[in-house]
Amino acid sequence: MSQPPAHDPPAEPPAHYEILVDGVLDSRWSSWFEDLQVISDEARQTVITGPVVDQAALHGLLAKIRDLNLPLLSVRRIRPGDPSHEVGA
Amino acid sequence: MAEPPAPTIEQAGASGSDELLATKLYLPQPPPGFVARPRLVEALHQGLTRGLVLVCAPAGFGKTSLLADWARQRQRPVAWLSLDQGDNDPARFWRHVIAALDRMRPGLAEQVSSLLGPPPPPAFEGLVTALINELAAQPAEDQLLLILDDYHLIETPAVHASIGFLLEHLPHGLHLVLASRADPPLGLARLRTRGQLTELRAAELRFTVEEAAALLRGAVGADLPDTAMATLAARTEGWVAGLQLAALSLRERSDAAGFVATFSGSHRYVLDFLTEEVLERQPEPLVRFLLETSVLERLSGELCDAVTGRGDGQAMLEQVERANLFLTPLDEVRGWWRYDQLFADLLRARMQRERPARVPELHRNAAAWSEAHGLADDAVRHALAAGDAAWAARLIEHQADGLLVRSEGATLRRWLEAMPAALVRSRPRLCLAQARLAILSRRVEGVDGLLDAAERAWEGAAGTVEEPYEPSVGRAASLLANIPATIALERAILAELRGDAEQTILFASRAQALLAEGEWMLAFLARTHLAVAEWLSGRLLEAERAFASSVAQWRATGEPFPAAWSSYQLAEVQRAQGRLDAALGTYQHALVMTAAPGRPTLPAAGVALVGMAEVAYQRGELEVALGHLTEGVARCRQLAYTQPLATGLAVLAWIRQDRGDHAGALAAIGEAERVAPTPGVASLLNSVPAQRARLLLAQGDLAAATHWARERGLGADDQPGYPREPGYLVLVRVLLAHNRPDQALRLLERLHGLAAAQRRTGSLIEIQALQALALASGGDEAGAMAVLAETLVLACPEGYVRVFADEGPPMATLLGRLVAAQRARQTAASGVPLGYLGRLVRAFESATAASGSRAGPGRAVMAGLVDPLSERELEVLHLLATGKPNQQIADELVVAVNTVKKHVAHILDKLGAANRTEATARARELGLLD
Repeated sequence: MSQPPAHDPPAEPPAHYEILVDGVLDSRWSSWFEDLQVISDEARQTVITGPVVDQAALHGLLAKIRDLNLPLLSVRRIRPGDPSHEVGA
Repeated sequence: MAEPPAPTIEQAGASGSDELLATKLYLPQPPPGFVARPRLVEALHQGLTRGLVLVCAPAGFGKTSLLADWARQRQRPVAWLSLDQGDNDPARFWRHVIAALDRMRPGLAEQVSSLLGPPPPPAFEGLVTALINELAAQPAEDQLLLILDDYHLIETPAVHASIGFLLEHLPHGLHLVLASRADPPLGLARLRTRGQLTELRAAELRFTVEEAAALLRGAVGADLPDTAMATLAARTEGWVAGLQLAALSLRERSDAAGFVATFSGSHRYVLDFLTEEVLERQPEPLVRFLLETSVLERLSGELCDAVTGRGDGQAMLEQVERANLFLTPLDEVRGWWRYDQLFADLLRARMQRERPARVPELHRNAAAWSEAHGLADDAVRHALAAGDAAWAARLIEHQADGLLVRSEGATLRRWLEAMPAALVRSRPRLCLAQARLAILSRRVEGVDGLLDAAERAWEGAAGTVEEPYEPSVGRAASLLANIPATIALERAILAELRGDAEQTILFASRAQALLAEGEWMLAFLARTHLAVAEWLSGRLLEAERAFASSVAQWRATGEPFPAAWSSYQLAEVQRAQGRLDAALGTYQHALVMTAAPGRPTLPAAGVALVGMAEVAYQRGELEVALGHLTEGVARCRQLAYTQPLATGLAVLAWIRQDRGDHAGALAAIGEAERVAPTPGVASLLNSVPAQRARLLLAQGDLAAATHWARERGLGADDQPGYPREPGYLVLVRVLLAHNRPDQALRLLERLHGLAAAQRRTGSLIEIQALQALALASGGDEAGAMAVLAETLVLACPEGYVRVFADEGPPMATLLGRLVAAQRARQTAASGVPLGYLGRLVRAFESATAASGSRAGPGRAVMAGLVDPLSERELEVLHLLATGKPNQQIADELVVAVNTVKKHVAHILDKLGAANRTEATARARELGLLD
């Protein structure tokens, strides 16, 4: 039969990602980053973490980070509920 | 038999976006307070000597300003193009690049635009090649810079590939400069090692302390102490976006030192801190204006009013500009502006944070204004951003025809992919748009399902009031206006590709019945497909009439490609009727249509040239055929409709085969198979697979040919219809090769009956040639000769040669015996003109000569007509033909008279002539004397 066009809702729950950037963003930035959690620490790094619908959305987030000139430190896929990145760990 | 596209009746819908084209081509002004950086300009200048110049750094590093300043300083021609998301459509991308180049090299666009289609080219190398050639052909003393800004927005492999191609073949005097936030996938590593890349990256673009000082002093005055400037430079890390914001902050303050201390003491993301600083000090209405208009990619006074709901848009924009708040004009007249991307992002982030509910409303206002002003792309984007997919759907439906007409199928596909799937399935026109895209790109597997969905949606909406539908190309030319008719038409196309004439007629007739007054595009297409169906059914007269009328109608609209394509189809019917001259005439008319003197030759000319090559090949004029193919195949490569290219390559394969280049032949037919449409297509519409099997057989690979016939499900006891005839003729040859002439004859009998009833002389000639071979193989020598003689009489008037020559040694042998019989004046063979026989014999001769065989069967053939004249005998013959007496000949050739006499005797004998006059006449008939 026909192949369904892109955009059908995915079957499994979205994966969770943790993105670490250099620089201090406060939590108000959450709305810019698709309502992901935005937490900064004393190491002057910021963790952006939460569910990401698919790879395209992930790359969209990374592009936003790039476009703000925030140095990207790491991108990690995590299990929901994993402890967030620890300071200086 | 693929679908001709909608014609360019009007460039409808293009006008809106073309209005903004000027803003993309505008060379930006340096911003106020711009600090020139000669060290960087020098580096750019040096870079021109090498290859690609790449300015690659994240947002806010001043890439655009630097390049614009450099370009303005140079006083040499600069073609500037600011890229946007929409340029991911290769057709659009190149249209814009050409427009940019055309400003500096007027006339360029006219020369190459036809290559953008319709129909769109499958790859853009043909277009880029033409562009390169045009630029190289008009060398100017000045170097021309092509600057592409925001190249990181390009994600489409097709665009990267074509730019890569341009880079590799850059004409002298053209330089390519890219500005991007990320490394483009253009093989940079290789360019680096070859020293063909000049890069300015973040490290180079960072402002030095001196440069920062110049910027800050320029903005705030000379009072700022050095330490303060050093601190700011350090804190912003030379990032000019930060420096500019810092400068703005400083201007409003009396306590510079205090600000610097707070700023350097804060660890907040630099722009976060500074933006707040700056905005805090702006009047509230201005801030609100900034936030609300940040949803726009481009701003004009009117558009801002529409978005904000106020009336002071123009005044506000000027105020923003005066405050140096990152607003850049996009033209000389201050009609259009845009915010620096980084600043816009910051504003949007803030808006999202503070008043998220207002954002969709702003987008809706923007969408409405864009729609009203013909800016389709923007309207769709804003409608989707507003979350109003139904509105976006209506916009897409309005634009779809126009996009296809402008070869912007990629844009249409991108829009459709951004739509929720369930919504697409519920709207018949979107389903039809998707179906059209699928058929155009040959992915026909899902199309049935799309048409079913369209039908369901249409029927489901029956009884409800239909939304008014006014497509940009007008209802009359639209393929989406009349939904039931288009569904029927697309089903007709699917049936046609399967070779199912009956279903094609059924659906195409239904489409016709459903047409409304004035819907000429659908009417044309329905008629064309009915014509193809007539052809598939073997009703050649009707098909010919229908195609001829199609050609006339397309010519009347002034659309060369569909006219050329219909001509090609018309000529195929004429060839099926055995009328090579008529077909040649048709191809020549098509060539005139597509290669008018003084105008650039269209890719569609390839279709005509391939056809002419086919006729020339069949007549044994291999050199002529090759000449046509060289140009024809090259032009056909620029067409999305690959059947003509495949056909041309198949002819090339046979020419190579004749010359003994077996490997080359296989390569050509292999490529033909790769480019030809889907294998499910009937062999009459796509004979390439059958041709390949036949070629393998001719090269002695019986196993492969047998295997192919089995795979295709061809059985010797089948009752074949016309659409599958080419495949069955291959099966006949396979049977003969397996020494099963009886089976072959029975199959041929059936094929013959059908071909005779349908008056398909072209087929009859081939069928009868095979019948002769089969009879001979079965031992019925006399029968074979009789059939062959009859066939030759049939084939002679139009000059068929290869249909015999391509059958190889068995046919050569049979022909030889026939010729011997003719020489002996036996009646069986008397109807065939000598000259024609000579041509046939020579055709075999060249094959054996090429394959370098010894005294193979080819040579034995000549015994009947012409024992091959030796070199020397040919020399004597030429001299003899000019009337020279033996003595003179002897003198010229420096031999004894007796030798000459012996030669002459042999000549007379071999030619079966009684005297020199007769010998000369015979020799002329046989084409031995030119």
